Amino acid sequence: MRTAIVAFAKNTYKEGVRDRIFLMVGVFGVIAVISSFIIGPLSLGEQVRITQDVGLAAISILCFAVAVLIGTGIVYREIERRTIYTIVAKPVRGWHFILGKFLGLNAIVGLLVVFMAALLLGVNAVVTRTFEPEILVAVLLTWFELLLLTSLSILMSTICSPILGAILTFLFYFIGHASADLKELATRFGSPMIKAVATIIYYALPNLEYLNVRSKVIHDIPVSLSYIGFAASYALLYTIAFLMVAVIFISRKEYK
Amino acid sequence: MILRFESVTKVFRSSLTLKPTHTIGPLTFGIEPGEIFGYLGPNGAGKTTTIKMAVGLLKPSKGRISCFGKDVTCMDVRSRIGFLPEHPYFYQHLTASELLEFYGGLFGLGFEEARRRAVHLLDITGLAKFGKRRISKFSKGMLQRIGFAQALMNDPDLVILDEPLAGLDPVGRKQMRDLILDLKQNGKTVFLSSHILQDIEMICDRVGILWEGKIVKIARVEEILDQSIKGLDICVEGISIESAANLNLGKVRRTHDGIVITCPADTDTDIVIQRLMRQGARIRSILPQRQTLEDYFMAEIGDLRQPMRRDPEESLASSEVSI
Ligand SMILES: Nc1ncnc2c1ncn2[C@@H]1O[C@H](COP(=O)(O)OP(=O)(O)OP(=O)(O)O)[C@@H](O)[C@H]1O
Ligand SMILES: [Mg+2]
Repeated sequence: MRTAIVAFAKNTYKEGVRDRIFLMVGVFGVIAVISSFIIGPLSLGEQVRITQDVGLAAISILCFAVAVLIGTGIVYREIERRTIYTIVAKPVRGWHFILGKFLGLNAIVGLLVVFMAALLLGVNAVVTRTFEPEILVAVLLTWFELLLLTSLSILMSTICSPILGAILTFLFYFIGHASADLKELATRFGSPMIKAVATIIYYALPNLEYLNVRSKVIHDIPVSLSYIGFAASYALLYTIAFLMVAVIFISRKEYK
Repeated sequence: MILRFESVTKVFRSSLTLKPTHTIGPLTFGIEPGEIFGYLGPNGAGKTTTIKMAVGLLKPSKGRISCFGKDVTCMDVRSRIGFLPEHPYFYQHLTASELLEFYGGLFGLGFEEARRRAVHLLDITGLAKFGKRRISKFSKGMLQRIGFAQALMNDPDLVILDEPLAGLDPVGRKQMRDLILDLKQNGKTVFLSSHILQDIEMICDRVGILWEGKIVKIARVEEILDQSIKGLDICVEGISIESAANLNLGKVRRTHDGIVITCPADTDTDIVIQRLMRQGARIRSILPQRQTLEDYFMAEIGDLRQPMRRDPEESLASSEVSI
């Protein structure tokens, strides 16, 4: 059982890092973090904030891109290319497969997070001449958000094509970050109908802004440990739920 | 019985209207320990569908499939089965060794053990030189071989192969046949499907013939081949084709060896030879003419096809012609 999950995870990881997407995003990440260093001086007196802001946003967005681009194809392609045929006949269960895929995908995403975070710390140290590990609090919660988003991508890949899955996951990401604003906007200007829809969306979809403490970190506002605990459990709960639904879908599939 | 189908039926339905579009079965048959069972049938007969149900890729609409006395979906049953799908396709980003080690992991093998088996299987399937080559660079025949190797990673007791000889060159076919016979030698049971009748004839102990989703015949291969001595080919020279024909012994034709008379299987050879010699013929050879599995298969299927020709539209058309 354990070896099967490890085998799936290792295989997913290998496939990911041998994928061109990974290399491209990695290069892009380096460019983004370093360019924040170059743009900084142009914004008089705000250099430090700009560097941190651009760097943290780059980690969040680029890792999200990798999660979606690889994740939404992760199960779908196995079915489409029939590589899953030999797997179904083996003594493995649906949850071994999904959990292995999840761990493998997160190994890829995690590698990118660690790499970019280290780069950001380095650049930040050059700009401020001090070492500021507080930045890592924002990175940590971004990483929890990525757990949630990878599990959602994997769920999408068990039910729809990669393109549709990517669109839906992106919408989820966008609404998840803007739902409070959307609700605010709707209650102020919308008709009762729009208000109702906005409220439903607000409560039905997870509020991803809970996992965004970037501006607090940049403005040196402390983030309490209990808040980190709350936000992390919030993300983990959704992650587990998405993975469980994915397992249900994959276990009921027939391969015609 | 190792693998047992009990009134197994698969109904394919249209995804929109849910109307049945195609039905396979009901199938009731079993595979005995230690035998090589050949599953024969024309394209679209339902061989792959049956095999997919046996390995859990499809769920039967009705009926039960048991293996080693348990339901086929049990995990401990699966760890004793090896499976090669039709037109196998594997992860393009892995090398041949990595692929086999990956499958070893799925069977719960430790890394060392998986590696040891991978090396051995690459060796016996003739891929020893290609262990470090990516699957994306593999030819069709090489894919078939790595697929076979993959099916044996767990040293299975039952091996299920969907068209194992497809895509192989003549040498490869011979090697694959030998590998399958080796499995039997080592006490394994093999369930394989094929169109290629000669291959089945050469290696299988029993065959099941499938036609339009139903099993129309299950028999031992010798049985089919035994009852199939169709006649005797007597090759003679020194007489004209007309005088040979005048003896009324059977069908007469000229070949590059001489004149060949095909007599019925129950002919008394002594009498025939005497009569021929009296005409001044020299006997060059007498060979029993055996029906091959192919002839048998064509005859069985031909019989089944007959009634189909008599559908109303066609008979109408033919009666119009005769008027
Ligand atoms: N998913 C499906 N939906 C509807 N019908 C199907 C489906 N899969 C197979 N069939 C039908 O079931 C029949 C049997 O198909 P199957 O693939 O089992 O044949 P086969 O004996 O393996 O043929 P071949 O020798 O060509 O591989 C065919 O008529 C096919 O059209
Ligand atoms: Mg087939």
